[in-house]
Amino acid sequence: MRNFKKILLPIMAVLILMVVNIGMNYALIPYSYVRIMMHQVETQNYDTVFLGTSHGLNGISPNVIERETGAKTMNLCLGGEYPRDAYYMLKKVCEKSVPKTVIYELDAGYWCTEEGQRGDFNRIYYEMPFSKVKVEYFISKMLKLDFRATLFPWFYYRGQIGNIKNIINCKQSEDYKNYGVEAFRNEAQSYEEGFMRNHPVEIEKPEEPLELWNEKTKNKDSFLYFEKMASFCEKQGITLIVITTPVPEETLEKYNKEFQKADTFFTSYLEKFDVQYWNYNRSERKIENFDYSLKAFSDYEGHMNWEQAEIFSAQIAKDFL
Amino acid sequence: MSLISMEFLLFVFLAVVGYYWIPQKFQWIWLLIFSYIYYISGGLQVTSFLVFTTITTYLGGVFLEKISEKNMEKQKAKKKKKQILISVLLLNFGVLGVLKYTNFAIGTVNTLFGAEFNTLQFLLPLGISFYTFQSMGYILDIYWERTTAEHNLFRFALFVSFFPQILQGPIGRFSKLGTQLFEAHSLHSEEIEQGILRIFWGYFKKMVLADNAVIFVNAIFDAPDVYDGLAIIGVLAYSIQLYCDFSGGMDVVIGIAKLFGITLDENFKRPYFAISITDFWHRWHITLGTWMKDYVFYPVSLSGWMKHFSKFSKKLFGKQIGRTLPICLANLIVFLVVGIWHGAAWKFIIYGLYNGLIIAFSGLMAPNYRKWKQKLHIVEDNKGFHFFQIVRTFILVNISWFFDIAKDVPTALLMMKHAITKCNLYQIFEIKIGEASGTKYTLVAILVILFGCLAVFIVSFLEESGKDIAVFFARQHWLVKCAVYVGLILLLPALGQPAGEAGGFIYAQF
Repeated sequence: MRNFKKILLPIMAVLILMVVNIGMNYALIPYSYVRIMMHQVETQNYDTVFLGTSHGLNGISPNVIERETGAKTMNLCLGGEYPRDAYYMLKKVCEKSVPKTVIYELDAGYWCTEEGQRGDFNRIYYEMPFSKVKVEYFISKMLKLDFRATLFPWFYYRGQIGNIKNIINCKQSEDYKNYGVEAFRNEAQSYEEGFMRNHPVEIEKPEEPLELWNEKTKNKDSFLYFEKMASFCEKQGITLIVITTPVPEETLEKYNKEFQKADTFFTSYLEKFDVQYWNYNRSERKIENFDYSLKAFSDYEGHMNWEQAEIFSAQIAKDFL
Repeated sequence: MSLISMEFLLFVFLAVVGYYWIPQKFQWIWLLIFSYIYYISGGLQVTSFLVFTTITTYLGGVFLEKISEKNMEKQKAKKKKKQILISVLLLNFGVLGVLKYTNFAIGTVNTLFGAEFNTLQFLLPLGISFYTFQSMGYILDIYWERTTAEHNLFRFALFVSFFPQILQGPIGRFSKLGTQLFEAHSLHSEEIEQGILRIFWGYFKKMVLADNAVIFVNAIFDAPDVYDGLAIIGVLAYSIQLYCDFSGGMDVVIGIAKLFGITLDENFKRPYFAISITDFWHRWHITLGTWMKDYVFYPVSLSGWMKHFSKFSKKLFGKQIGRTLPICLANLIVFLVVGIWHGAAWKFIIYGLYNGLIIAFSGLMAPNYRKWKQKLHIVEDNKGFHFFQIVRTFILVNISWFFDIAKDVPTALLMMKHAITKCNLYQIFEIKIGEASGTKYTLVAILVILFGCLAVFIVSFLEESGKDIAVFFARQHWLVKCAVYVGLILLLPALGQPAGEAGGFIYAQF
C-alpha cells in the first residue's frame, strides 16, 4: 500500500500539472498568425519561401510576388525569428515539398544580439505539428531555454489573464477553426494576403528598440545556423537569396555609419557562400515610387506600411525575374 | 548549462536514473562523467583550468603525505612540506588572481597614476572561486594532517568537480564530502522526495522572489537620481533578491545532491534572524565563513607575528584590550579577503572592511556593552531586546548592501544619503513592470514579493523555532503533498519573471 502511494503521488502530480497546463495554454495563449502559417506549411506546396524577421513580415506581400512571378509564394517571416528559427522553419517546409527559392530577409541586429525569449518565436515550437523537425528544433533551441518556457508555454502570456474570455471566445469561433484572419484585424494592423499589413495611423513613431550592427558582439549561433541553412539549400537544390528591407531615410541618415558597416560586412560574408545579397538601403537599389520618409513606416526601425510593402514586393519580384 | 534550463533538468534526470541503475561501485564514476559533461558544456577551454587545479592539488596532496611517511629529518620534512604547500597555493590562487583581478589592478594603476594600460580579455572559468577554495582547503587540511590524501586522481577529480555544487558552492570539505561521493548509495524515496521539494522551493525563492525584486533593484540602482526617493526600498529589495537568489540557488544545489543521496553542507541558516554581524556571518554563506575561519582567521591569529603584536598591545593597552586587539585585526584581515573574494572592485573591499570593522568594534566594546546592559537592567533572553538586536543587525547588513549593489562607492554613499534625506515611496509605481509584454503589473509584482516574503518568513520562523519542515512535510497525507508540489511548481510560471529579464544566479558568476 505504501509503495502504491509512493508511485501515486508523482503520477497524480504530473497528471494534475498536465491538465492545468492544457487549460492554461488554451485560456491564456491568444490565437496567432503562426498557426495559420504552420497550417499552410502543412497543407500546401510553395515555390518561393520568405524567411526572416518582422521587417519581412510587414514588408513582403506574397500575393504581389506570386502575381508578378507566377511562383506560389509564402511569407514565413516572424517577429523575433533568428537564423536558427528560420533554419528549422525551412526544414519544416521541406518536409512537405522543397521550394525552388528561399529569400532570407536579413536584419543585422539579429546577428549581434542574444536570442531573446520573447516575440513570436516560441509560437514556432508551440504551433509546429509533431515531426522530426520539431524534435530537432526542441533539442537545438527549447532545451536551452528556461524550463518554464518549454514546459509551460502560457508562461509568456500570463499578462493575458484579463483577456481570457476573448481568447476562449476566439478559439471557439468558426474563424479560428478555419484558420481565419478576423482576429488580427485592428486599426493599426491586419494579417491579410499572407503578410502583416501595417495601416498608417497618426501616432508618435517609436525610435527604440533599434538594434544596430555591432561586429564585436556577433551572435555565433546566428552565423552557424545561417551557414547550415545555406548548406541545406545547396543540398536540396534551392536558390538562396538574402535581402535587407529599406528603412526610413531618417534612420539611415542618423545611423548611416552602422548601416554602411553592416552592408560591407554582410556583402563580403555572403560572397563566401556565393549567395546574392540585395540590400535595399543601398543607393543603387533605390526603389521607384517608394516613399522613404518616416511617415510611410510605423517606426524608425523600418516596419513599412502596407502600400509601401506592395511597392517593395513588386520590386523584389522584378529583381527576381 | 543554466540551472533553470530545460536541458539541465533533463541532464539531472538522466544522471539520477543512471546513478541508481548502474552497479553501485560505479556510481562515483558516473557522477564524475556527468560532472565533466556539465563543466565542458560551459566551454572546453575553461575546463583546462579545472583540470589544472585538480592535477596540481592532487599531486601536492600525494607528495605532502609521502613526505610525512618518509623517515626524513623533522626539520627537513617540515621545510619540504612548506615548499610544496606554498607552490600549490601560489599556482592556484595565482591563476584565480590573474584571471579575476588583473583588470582591477590595471584600472587602479590607471586611476592612481594616470596611466593608460589596456585591460586584458580573460576567460573566466565557471565557479573558479568555489573550486579553488575547496581544493585549497583540501591541501591545507593535508598539510595540517587533518585529513589523508586521496590517491585516486579520478576520485579526487570528482571531489573538485561535483556538478551540482561547482558553480556556486557550498564549499565542501574532503573529510565530509569525499566520503559521501565515493560510497555506494541505494535509492531511498524519502531522499528523492526531500530533494525534489528542496529544488522547487529553491526555484520558488529564485524565480518568484529574487527575479521580481531584481527588476526594482535594477531600476532604482541604475538611475539613483531618478528614483532618489526609493533608496530604502531599493536596498530592501536587494536584500530580498540577494538572499532568495543565493539561498534559492543553494536549495536547488542541495536538493540535486540529495537526489544522489549526498548531503551537502548548509550555506544559510536564516541570516536575517541574526542578532549581530558576527551571528549574521555564522548564518550567511556559512561554508565561506568557516573556510575563512579555518584557513585565514586561525592561521593569522596563531601566527608568530600576531603573538608579538598581542604582547605589544597588552603592554600598551593593558590585558583586556591587548587580548582583543589581535582578534580584531585577524577579523579585519578575514573580511578584507571576503571583500576581495566578492569581486574585483573597491566597493567590495569597502564592503568587506565595513563588516570587519563592525565585528572588530563589537569585540572591543563587548565589556562596555555588558556594563551598559547591567545598568539598564536588560536581560539577554528578553524577547523585546532580541527583536531589537535582529532589527539592528538587519539595518547594519542593509547598509553594507549599498556597497555591494551600487555601481561604485560614490553611488553607494549617494544612495545612503538619499535614504536619509529623501523618501518618496510613490515613485515605486513609476517603475513599469511588464511593459515589454504589453501589460503593466507593477502592483502585482509588489504583492507577489510581499506574499512571497511572508511565505519564506513563515518557513524560516518555524525552522528558527526548531521545527524540521522536511520531516513535517514527509508526515503529511499524500494528497496534501501532491497539492504542495503542484502549487509550488505552478507558481513558478505564474508569478516568476522570465530569466531573460531577471538574469541568472548571482553567485554563479564567482
